Amino acid sequence: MDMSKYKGMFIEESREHLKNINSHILELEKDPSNQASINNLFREYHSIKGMAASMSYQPIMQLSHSLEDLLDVIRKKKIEIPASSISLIFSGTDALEGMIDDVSSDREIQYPSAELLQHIHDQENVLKQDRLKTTSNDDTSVDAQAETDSLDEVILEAQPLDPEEILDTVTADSQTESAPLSAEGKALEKKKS
Amino acid sequence: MPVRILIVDDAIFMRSMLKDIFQKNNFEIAGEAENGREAVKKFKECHPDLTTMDIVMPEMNGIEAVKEIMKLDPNAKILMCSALGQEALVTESIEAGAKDFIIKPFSPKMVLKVVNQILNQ
Repeated sequence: MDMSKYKGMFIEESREHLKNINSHILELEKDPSNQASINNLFREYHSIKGMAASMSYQPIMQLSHSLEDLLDVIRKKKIEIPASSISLIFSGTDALEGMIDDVSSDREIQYPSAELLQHIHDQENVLKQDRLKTTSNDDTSVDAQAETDSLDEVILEAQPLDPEEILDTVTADSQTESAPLSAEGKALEKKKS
Repeated sequence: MPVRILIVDDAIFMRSMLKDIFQKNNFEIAGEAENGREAVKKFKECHPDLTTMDIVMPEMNGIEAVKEIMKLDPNAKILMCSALGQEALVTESIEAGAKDFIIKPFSPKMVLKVVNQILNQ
């Protein structure tokens, strides 16, 4: 399939998503508990990931997938978005903007830095494990806030991962998830029945 | 008569790709929708032979749309179009009544194969 005809559409729609992302980030800086903005952010990265995958723009897919996963943890836990996450999302979005510019200028798309991917991945794992402050007021919120405050320290203390290992993991995941589909569908249907 | 397809995806990019695949292979595009709510409305209007349904969309997601469409027509043929990392949602969609799924990026060959399988069920 000749994908070149979709390139312009990809650039235009991705830039629209990046514009929306910046608006959602600004909203979250004012109100970190805004679940609608957190969900919207998740969807924006998800859309970019889907389009990038279709265009075989691996670096864009890789970074948008990481950011999507981070947002997915936050939205599923219904927690306030930590300042450290917003900072990572800013950095990730900046990098994505650069990548879209690469596509637009017919340059080779630069892969995201292993350090950035590592920080996003670490943050995701910390949030998965932590009981952070939920958006509803409950008895645990004070203790949980203390955990939120210590998040930056945890991230800074995290041991760096081998960048090659990160890339291997992402590649392996992609391969697994791209396995033949109809058979999986049938398996799911069997499970259903 | 050509098979009529309703395409549901919030990305114009993805809808265009699917539209091209179907049109080049003698399917007719019955309609397009950019979210689940619009999908249900369009389904009522155009009664497609098959619907391709994205999962993560604003306003109403694909799973909710499948549930609503299955209430309207329990024999509706719906193919989920998912991105990586949405396995749980795909399972939920199949449980809600979708017939099969494909994962982005999809090739024309793969799309046509799964669509024909569903139509021949």
